[in-house]
Amino acid sequence: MNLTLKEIKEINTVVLNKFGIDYSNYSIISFKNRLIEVLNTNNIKSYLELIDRIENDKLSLDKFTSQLAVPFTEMFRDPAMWRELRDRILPKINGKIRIFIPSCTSGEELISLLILLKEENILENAKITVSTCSKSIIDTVKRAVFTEKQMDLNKANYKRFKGKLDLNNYATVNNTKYYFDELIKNINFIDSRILTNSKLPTGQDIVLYRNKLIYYNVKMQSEILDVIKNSVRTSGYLIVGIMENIFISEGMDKVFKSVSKTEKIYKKKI
Amino acid sequence: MAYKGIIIGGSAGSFQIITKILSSLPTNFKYPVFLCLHRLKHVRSGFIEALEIKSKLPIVEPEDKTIIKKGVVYLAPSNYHMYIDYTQRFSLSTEPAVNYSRPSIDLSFFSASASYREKLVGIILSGANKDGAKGIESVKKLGGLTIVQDPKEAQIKTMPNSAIELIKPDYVLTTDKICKFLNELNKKI
Repeated sequence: MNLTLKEIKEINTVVLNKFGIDYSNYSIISFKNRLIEVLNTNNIKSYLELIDRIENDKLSLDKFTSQLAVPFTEMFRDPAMWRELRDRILPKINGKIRIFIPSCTSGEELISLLILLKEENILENAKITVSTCSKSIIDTVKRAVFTEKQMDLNKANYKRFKGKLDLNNYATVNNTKYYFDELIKNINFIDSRILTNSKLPTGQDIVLYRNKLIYYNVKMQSEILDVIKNSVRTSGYLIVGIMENIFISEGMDKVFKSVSKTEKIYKKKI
Repeated sequence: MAYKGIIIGGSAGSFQIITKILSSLPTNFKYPVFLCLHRLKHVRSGFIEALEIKSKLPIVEPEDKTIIKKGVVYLAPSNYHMYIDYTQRFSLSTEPAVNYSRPSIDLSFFSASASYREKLVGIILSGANKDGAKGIESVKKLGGLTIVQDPKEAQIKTMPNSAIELIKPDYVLTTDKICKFLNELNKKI
């Protein structure tokens, strides 16, 4: 199964008309991969069949957007970043701590954060907001179920992060499945299908937005950062993926300064 | 034929071959070189440094949306897929591993062949799994030039053999011949 650029453009036009979402500024190769994934998951044989299903309400907006989203594949991805967050960033924030995770696609990042806050005894003082692009993603995040195979990787990362306990301490294990749903309480979930059109929280101490920009082209990255920067309070932090660079977007160097070059942690200027 | 880029895939047993190839390339090399190698996930540094010792060309792990330049060797960062975009930029991705691999050689090759089509040279080296075979097949299908390391010479033959089972490469070459080929290619433009 493959899709040509022309076919992708046709799909985009239909999606824009039907759902009002413009995918034309997504990073084209990963977007193509995701579309093919949607076709395979729904047993759709051609792009025309996909278009037919969208136009005739046989593939819902919720299903389409959640299947297109790239899931996070591991907890404590890049353990060095999590250590940096624990050892250098969190101690600088006093009192109530506000953290925003935009465009959450699966629970790993949120769970890692909750565990970290718990181990530092500051979970009670934290207000966490998570935005997602679909209701079914919120359900998946809340269910927080992981397989043994996923947990092998999560545990290896946690060990490198040098966590205080063992990931098993935070999960209920049943029939080789790990459930972290107990952890996920008091989270403020918001539905923000199109990030740039949504009412996002402001005054956040930390915005954790890792490996999301990579799915957009340069133009869209710039538009998104323009919105996200408003969520970060003055002297607050924006964290992106270790291979992402916010400074390729014009003007961002005036808003943020880098405080960790390797872990891509930025501080909002005064 | 004027080629525009060279993509090399390898895994176990390819490190020395890569070092040899890189050391043979002249400072005025006129193509970008994309390296997609299976590597240890948690080791972020050290690999570039090891490759740099013998290379006359700069070696970088591209950040997302980095603009592609001639005469630079780009190494796929660990734990990301590396795509060569139509816009002459890199796009990285954390999509799930393919053939247990991230970076996936197949995915890098698919993207490069779709972007460069007949202007791409694809090379598959020693390796212990079949990642890369479908990738080099797409190079071939879209009219690019395909080279596979001679399995007789490869330390681990699975990867080159899988490629040869799938396509008839334009060349099956030893490391020395690959070096010579790339240097000749550089003289043509």
